[in-house]
Amino acid sequence: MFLAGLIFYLRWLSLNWFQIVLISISFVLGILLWQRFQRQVNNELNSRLLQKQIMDAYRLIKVLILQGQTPYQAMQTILPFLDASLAEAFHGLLIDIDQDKSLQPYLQFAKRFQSLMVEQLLFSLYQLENQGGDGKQLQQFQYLFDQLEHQFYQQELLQFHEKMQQQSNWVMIATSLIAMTLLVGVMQLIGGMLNGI
Amino acid sequence: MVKQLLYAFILTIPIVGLIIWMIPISVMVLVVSLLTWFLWFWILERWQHEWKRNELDEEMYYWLQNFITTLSIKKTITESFVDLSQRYQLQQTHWLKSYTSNDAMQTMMNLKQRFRHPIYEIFTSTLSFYEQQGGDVMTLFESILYQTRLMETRRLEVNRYTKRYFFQWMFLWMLNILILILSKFTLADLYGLMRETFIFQFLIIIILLYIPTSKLIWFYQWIQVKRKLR
Repeated sequence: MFLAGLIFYLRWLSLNWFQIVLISISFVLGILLWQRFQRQVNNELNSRLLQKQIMDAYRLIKVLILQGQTPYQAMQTILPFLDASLAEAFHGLLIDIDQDKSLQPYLQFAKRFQSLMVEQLLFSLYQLENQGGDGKQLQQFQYLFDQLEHQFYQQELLQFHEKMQQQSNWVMIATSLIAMTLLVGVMQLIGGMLNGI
Repeated sequence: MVKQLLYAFILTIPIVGLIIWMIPISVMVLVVSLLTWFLWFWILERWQHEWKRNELDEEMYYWLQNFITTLSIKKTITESFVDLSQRYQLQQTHWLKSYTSNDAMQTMMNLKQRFRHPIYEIFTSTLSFYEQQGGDVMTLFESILYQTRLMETRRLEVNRYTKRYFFQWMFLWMLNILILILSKFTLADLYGLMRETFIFQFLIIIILLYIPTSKLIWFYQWIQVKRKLR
């Protein structure tokens, strides 16, 4: 609809068909590229949000495991505290574990997060569940979790700094706008004076 | 709400004053003034909301730390709660009153309405477990204490950086406004002619309207990243 309007407008400006086609193609390409870029940004945002949710879930699982629960029990306990979609995913994992005691359900679950970090954590949960939760294994799990949590937090903090630094760029746009305003004002006056001559 | 409207109005005055000083008064100026007022109001509303959440996180941290420490000494939930509520009364902290019931455990459950963090849910379920089964307080609550301490450290860190970035944003805008003011003095003659042209008026309005807009973008980004760090 918008494209038809644009073509109509360009035709009204007396542009020839070759020029109109070129402009329209550039316009469509620009929109497609923009959409692709937006999709990538959204995907990245969703993936980071999922990682954040899983880190929150792990934090709760860790607390419960350290209180003496098994990973399976801990996963059951945290279900009401999770976001609906993640709770559903964990519920699915628990059903899968009931049917298959191998590592497979854990790996299947990890796949949806597309993160090695999540995979590692699920592997350690599997070990803890199936090979007994003796002190050494518990310590290993705790160490691994703390390391990954620290790493995740550092990444998020880095992103926080990047995003806040970017805000200065918005103010810089205003600076250039001020320069442009003054320039446009002066140019208009010069133009007016020349026309007057 | 009235307070926010008033604060938004106070923040709008300098911007509108600057617009009126730089370009002649028109309907456009009036529209922009209202728009600026609305933008500031919206920012302040959201800011207050976030600040409240921040305060609640802080309260939750101190409440959990104090309660677990007191519980490790007193050993019973009721005694610990009575001790802690007396301490809060002495500190003139009144929010606890509205959640208090005859049963200490019930009060702890009621506090879920105030502290809507998953860690508080885990804390109450651990507390129920302790009430029924007993055990060593420090062993049971060690990981909760550790997690809350970690959360508090992050909260403080984010607050510190927020202040720094906010002042950076403000400083850059101060410089921009200074350029605008100085240009009016240094190009006084030209300015008198320029201010009559529509394009110049339009650009000046855009620049000054951009102050609350850039704050809005700043704030939106800040909320997004802060929530991830919570």
